[in-house]
Amino acid sequence: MPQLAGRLAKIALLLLALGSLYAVALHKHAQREEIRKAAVALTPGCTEKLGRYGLAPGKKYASSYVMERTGARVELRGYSEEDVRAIERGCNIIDDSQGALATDPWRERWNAKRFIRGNHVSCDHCHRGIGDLQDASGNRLPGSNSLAASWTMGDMYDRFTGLLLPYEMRQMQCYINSSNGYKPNVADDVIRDVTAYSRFLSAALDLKIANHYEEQGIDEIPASATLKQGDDYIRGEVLYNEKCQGCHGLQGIGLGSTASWSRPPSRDPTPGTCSRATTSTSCPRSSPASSAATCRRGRKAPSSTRIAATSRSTSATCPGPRATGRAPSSPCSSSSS
Amino acid sequence: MDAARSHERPSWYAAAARVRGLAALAIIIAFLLWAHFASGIPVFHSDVSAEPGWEAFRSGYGVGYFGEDGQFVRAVQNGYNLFFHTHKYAARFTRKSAADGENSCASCHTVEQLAYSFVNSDRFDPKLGARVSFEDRVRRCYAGSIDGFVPTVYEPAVRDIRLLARAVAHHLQLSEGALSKEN
Repeated sequence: MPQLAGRLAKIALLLLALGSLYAVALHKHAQREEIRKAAVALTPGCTEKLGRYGLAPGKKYASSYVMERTGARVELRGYSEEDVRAIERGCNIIDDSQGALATDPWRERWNAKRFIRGNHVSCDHCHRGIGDLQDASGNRLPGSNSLAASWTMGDMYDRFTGLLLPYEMRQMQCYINSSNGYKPNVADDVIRDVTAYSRFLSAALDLKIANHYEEQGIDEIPASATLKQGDDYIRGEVLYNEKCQGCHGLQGIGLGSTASWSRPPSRDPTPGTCSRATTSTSCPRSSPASSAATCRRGRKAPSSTRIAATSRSTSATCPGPRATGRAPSSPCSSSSS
Repeated sequence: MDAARSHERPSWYAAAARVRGLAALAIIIAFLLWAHFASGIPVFHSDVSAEPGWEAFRSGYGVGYFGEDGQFVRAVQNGYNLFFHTHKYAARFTRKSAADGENSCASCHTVEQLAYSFVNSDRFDPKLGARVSFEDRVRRCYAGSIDGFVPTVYEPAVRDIRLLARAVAHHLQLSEGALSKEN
């Protein structure tokens, strides 16, 4: 009899645990539904952008941008109130991914911050102009990583992943790579709302499906265009020295003065060197750096030495023994101490 | 004891031991060659079967814009096969008895309608109370109109229909939200 009671108690506990999980799932589902129905507080940038394109609920939509540029009124399918809110949320996520301007990042950005790791990056940092960069005359700029142009070229073969990459999976790649973070679910609102916004931009600019537009990618910038913008390099250098070199180092290889404290460690993009300059837990034996790199966490060298080290391809990530005053231990031997 | 046994083995045994590794390798290579070139099993080769009408469709809808060959074009061709010969290429997502006709997507839709549907997808559907993607619509077709089963969202039976729609939308130079004459 006591055995039977014990078994029944176990079954009851199991049912209680499963029921609790189900209740939590229902609660979260209801919470998401409530957020989808709530009015959206736009960032200043999105207020200007969406207002300029005349986004409003209606049976038909005609882009004011297209009318301005061509004088023609192109009627497209309109948007319901639900669609408009999705587009607005998507715009907010691009402009302010981590919710710095939001009073409640969870409710206003789907807490997109949880998919980003270790920095303050926003989608807008790469997809400039909230995914649609134009000059003062309204000309779309080549190489601005336009989300609208990117949407029209969705599903194309991607040489990095070797896949026909849907637009949603491109966003996942952004979270993993550009944001150094985590992959949202393909059906997550944070992905779907950005898709809605990108598709709206595509409609507002009247881009045609699968046409190639120069504003799509950074590869589109011709060398001649960059040569003419020397001032940008000067401003960029000042900005880099002010904001970035602390972690990324003078040469951008992740050996800045604060690199040893950054979590995750600064990325070292130098080909053939240890993947993470400050931890070096995964330096491959075949790496050209392995003969000279000891890569101990926390080791720092004077900046002059760092610059000198970068000019030597085989020891680019680690200062030599003379720089630290210590003899190297085993060559690049997973020294995560 | 073992040494004594090896002394008792016939001479051909040692020779066989030497070649058995090579024999195993030869069998594996023969299997791979057969699988790729002679088996005809689709999973072992990346070519898509050319159904009647594909070449006319390819030239008529300008699929060559995306290249003569490549993953995208092959996916579009597979989308064509799925669209016009659904019962053959998506057999596991269709359900029919001997008395049923061989329904396909083309029984209800044209490829132009598919393209317009694509550029008007991801919109709120009041009947369903949710924003519905193109993939969701295709999946609902498999489950509802074809009385079959629901594929996953990245199943090629769904993805390649979307790519077919995208290729046709490009040919028609549709923009997002483009309205057909019917609308």
